[in-house]
Amino acid sequence: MSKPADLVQGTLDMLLLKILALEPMNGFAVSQRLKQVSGDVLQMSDGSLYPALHKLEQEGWITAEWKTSEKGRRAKYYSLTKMGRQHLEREADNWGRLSGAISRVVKLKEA
Amino acid sequence: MQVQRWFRTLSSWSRVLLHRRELDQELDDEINDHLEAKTEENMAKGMVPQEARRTARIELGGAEQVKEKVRVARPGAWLEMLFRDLRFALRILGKKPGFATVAVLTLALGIGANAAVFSVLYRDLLHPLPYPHGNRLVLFGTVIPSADSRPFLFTASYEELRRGSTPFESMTSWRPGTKECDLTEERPLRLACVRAESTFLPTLGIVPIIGSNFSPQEDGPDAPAVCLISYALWQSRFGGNPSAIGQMLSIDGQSTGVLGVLPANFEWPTLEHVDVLLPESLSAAELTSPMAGVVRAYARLKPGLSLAEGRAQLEPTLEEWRRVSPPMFRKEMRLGLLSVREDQVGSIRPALLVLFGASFALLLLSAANVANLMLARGAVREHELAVRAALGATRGNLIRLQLAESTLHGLFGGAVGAGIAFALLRIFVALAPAGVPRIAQASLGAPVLIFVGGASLLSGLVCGLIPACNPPPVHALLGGSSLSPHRARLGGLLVAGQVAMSFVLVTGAGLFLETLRNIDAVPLGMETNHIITAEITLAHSYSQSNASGEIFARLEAGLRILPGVTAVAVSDSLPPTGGGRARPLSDIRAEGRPAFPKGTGGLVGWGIVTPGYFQMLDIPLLKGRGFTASDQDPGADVVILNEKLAERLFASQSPIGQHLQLSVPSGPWYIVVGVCGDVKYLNQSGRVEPSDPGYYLPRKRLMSVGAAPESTDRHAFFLVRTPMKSAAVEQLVRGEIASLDPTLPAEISTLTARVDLLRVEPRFNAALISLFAALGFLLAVIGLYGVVSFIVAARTKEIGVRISLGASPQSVLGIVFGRGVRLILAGLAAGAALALAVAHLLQGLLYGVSVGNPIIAGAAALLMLLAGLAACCIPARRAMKVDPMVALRYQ
Repeated sequence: MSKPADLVQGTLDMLLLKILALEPMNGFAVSQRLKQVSGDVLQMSDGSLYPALHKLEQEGWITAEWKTSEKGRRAKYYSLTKMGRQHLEREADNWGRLSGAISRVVKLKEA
Repeated sequence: MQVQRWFRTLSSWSRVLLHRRELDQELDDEINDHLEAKTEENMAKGMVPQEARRTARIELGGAEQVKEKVRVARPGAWLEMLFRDLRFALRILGKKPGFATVAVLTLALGIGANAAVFSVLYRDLLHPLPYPHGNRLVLFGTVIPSADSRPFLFTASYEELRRGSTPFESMTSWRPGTKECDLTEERPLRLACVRAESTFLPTLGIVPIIGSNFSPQEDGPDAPAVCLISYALWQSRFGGNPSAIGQMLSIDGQSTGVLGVLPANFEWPTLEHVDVLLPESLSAAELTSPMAGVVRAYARLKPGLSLAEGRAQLEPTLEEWRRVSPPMFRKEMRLGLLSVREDQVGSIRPALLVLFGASFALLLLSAANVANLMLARGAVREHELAVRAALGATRGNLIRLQLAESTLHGLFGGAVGAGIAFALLRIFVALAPAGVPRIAQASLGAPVLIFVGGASLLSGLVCGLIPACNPPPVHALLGGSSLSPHRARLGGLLVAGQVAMSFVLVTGAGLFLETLRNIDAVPLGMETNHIITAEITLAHSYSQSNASGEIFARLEAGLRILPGVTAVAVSDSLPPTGGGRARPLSDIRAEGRPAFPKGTGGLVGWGIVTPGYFQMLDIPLLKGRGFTASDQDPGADVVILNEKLAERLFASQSPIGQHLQLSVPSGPWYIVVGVCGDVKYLNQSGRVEPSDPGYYLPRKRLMSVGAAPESTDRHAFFLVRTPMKSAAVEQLVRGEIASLDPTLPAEISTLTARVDLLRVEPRFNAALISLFAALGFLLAVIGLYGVVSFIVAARTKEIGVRISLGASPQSVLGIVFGRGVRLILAGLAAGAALALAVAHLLQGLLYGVSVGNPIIAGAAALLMLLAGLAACCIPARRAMKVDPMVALRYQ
């Protein structure tokens, strides 16, 4: 199974930002969504999720808001900031170029 | 963008530090929310509630660990951790107040000694000079060692140089030496006057606080009578009133206008006390004819020019100077160019550096002792640390914890040390009133406090790092203390280092004490006991005709009939420092012998004395007779030579009855009536100068030695011999002088005290080094005791086994002493190497003893060895008394 540690440095940040770009959600929902969309390929331990989210918050890319969830618990909802959106776009561009280049190399026909 | 980022970091810091509880609560809530949600999901999958909750926790990987990870990742988290560690360390310190006190006091001792020496060193060697860009200011000229060890210039050479090109931005000059001058008004006052060029203040970069500087016209021969006065004189004479400018002061009977006032912090570059600055007023002859006068020349180097470059540019000029100087000086003449700071403190620098080194060694010794203490206590705390490690504290956490503790020790030590430094500084000032320039101005200012802070942090860290890098072994968890041999080895290494350091200190102290003893034992060639001296310089009002001769004669007669006075003598000079006049040997010619070629033979000193002088000072008359009363009549041209001059002039022949001309070619002829013993002169540090050849002339009754310069006519030493207590007689002498002229200032002291003044600097050095050595020695012995005790404790079980197997008490003793002796010997070997490495720094400060003196080094080594063995005795006794039964159960 591929762990986030195997991902290229910085791509975890990008994934989290992308997920939060869809809608504001709490930590639990982020981890659920990450599993869903990647078809369980990208699984990140819940233990590393929260430090990562807090780091993004400190960078100013996401912001947090306390809401009461439908179950009546206090929950912290993260949403993307303007700066976070710009950063995401930049990172996504980079990623597109990098992955395109890598797949072109990998798909080279052997003589 | 960048600003925003800083702002975010700052606000996040303040949140972390100020709202920690709130943040932690939020984190708890967030993790809680996650766990609840996960549990619900698991239950939805069909798990029972308990199982669902357990799985959620496992997947999260430990709620506390996750929280800790988040907390550590916060910006400013390290600051929070620092506070936590310090809080914890404070608690530990409070729990063991005895240990903390010993550690803090030990460090305080080292830091205090170091800071006190540093404050003196800083004031003299590092504190900026009180002139803008003072590091570019230099003193320059020719150096003629036999005449003056400091650079000077003949006025004509200086004038010549002013017209040529120099490496200087500006240059200036003054007539060397402060002169006593009198404020002759209704309240007479003796002042120190100097004569300097109009460029003097501008070259130093000093502007009068009110009024103005001299103008260039005032440098010449017909200078108007104007002056600049010191801030202190302005305050005392004019009450600090600006209207002082333009007022008249009567200086030496001449009405002199006040032109300006010098700043309060103004310092004459030679550090001499100056009250009044007068125009240099060089005469026309001085400006043109070579050797008519001398000046000290100061200059400001062009920006970016180094001393060496300046010297190289000036070198060609030296040839010019050499050409116009007297032939006798040409050979030894060299170029002198040194910074003002070097001129001020160059001679004291080696002593200060050595003292600083000694105090630094003391600091190292105290830090090593504290490190050893912590090492030994670390063994006791091993169990606690092992538990912490088992509970998840990382190695870094543990090291941080111990460092926080030792750093606190260091900081407290620094605080107490600052107090010790303050007290020590007072002692220094009392010990060395004149030996060290500016010592009274040394204070615990900001730079010294920064130094204290740095030293305490560093020593705290160092003495914590050594034990902290020693991780607790896993088996420490099993209980008891492991007393690991690794710790004992580390402790042994520290102690060997201590022995080495204190060996160097003790040897150094021995050398300095020997120097002091040698200086005290120098045979001066004269008797100094039971003699009271009064040095008198008459005020300017005595300069007319025979006024000075009259009052001196009345004083001499008055002193003679004082109760308790058995003899009185008068002279114009007084060894070992009050040097008289000197003239080149080639000025002297013995009748019937070839004249000395010009420029050979160096200088001959001479003095004018009354007949009682030789007997008073117990200077032996080796041949012929002394002066008699009839020699004091005008017209009796007699001379007494000292042994050295007699030998130089007449070799083995008897000089008695020979005729001498004392200033060729036209001076009068004198008859040699006697030869007396040589008297030694001492330099500023109490070291003996090579004694010069010299001669004495009789002091004439109602004196008027026509050739003598006017100023010396007004100056004389009165010597009084008394078998009584000197303090009482000093009072009588003072009273006698006051009865003749109450305004006459006289410097009265015993001759012993005058000679003693020269020993201030060697005594200061010896006292300080001895103090540091004694303390260092004590620390090393305590350290040795501690480590050997520790080793015995660590090997109690082993010793018990040996004893139960029949080991004799001697062999047990052998184990303990063997270890102690090995440590000491290793330390002594390292100390000897260290001593060799620093030896060259000391040699210049010693007198009559060489750095490699084997007796002193041997004595120091023996002392260390004996004290070390004594320190081993207590642990050795303990080792011998080990009860095998108890020892085997123990641990």
